Amino acid sequence: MKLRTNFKRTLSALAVTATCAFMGSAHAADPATVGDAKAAVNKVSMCIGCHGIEGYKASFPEVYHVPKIAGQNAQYIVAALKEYASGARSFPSMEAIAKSLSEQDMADLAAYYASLK
Amino acid sequence: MKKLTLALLGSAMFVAGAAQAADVVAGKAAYEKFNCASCHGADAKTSLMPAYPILAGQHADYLEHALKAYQRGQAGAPATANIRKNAIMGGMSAPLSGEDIKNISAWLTTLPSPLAIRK
Repeated sequence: MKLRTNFKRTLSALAVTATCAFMGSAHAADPATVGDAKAAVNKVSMCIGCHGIEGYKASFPEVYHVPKIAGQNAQYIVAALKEYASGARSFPSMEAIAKSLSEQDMADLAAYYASLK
Repeated sequence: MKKLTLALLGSAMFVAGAAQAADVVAGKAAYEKFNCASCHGADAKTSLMPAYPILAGQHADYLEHALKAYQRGQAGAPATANIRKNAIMGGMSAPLSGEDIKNISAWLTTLPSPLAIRK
């Protein structure tokens, strides 16, 4: 009986690991789209009005400082933008901006902000 | 003297209130208890996958907002309620109390971090 419990535990641990590995690969950025930080210089105008201003806050439904994105992981920035574009994250201004971006724009902006460490 | 006592009492209550509002030590404990480190790293900046965000040094109020948005998404709130739908974070955020969210966010914001506000 004890053996069986251990077996069950091992199985569930394996399942969790497998799920993590699967989710991880699903999240990995498209390798075809390589970000160019320099190309983003002409694309950041729509970001800096909120993310470049010290103390800038959003207000719905919580009041909070908009996130710091300089120094953030590039692949996460792309993942977040894609979630806004798909509607998985709802926030009107970010949805509108993310929908206006191409895959290349997202990769370039992500590379640019990730490089600001 | 009475005024001074009142003022002291008032400030003591204010300090006690602030300590209750967010408990950094409890936040670190909750971060460990709820297995946040399994993806975001023990230091909250060395994430397991580059697709996961650096949380260390992020604004505490933004972290609180994000966690609540994941909870709203998980609970099936409409898109107009400002939600996030994410298979992993929906499940991870669901068991957190309001107090947990406050404490975890308060701890994360104190950690050394590469995050900054830059153009």
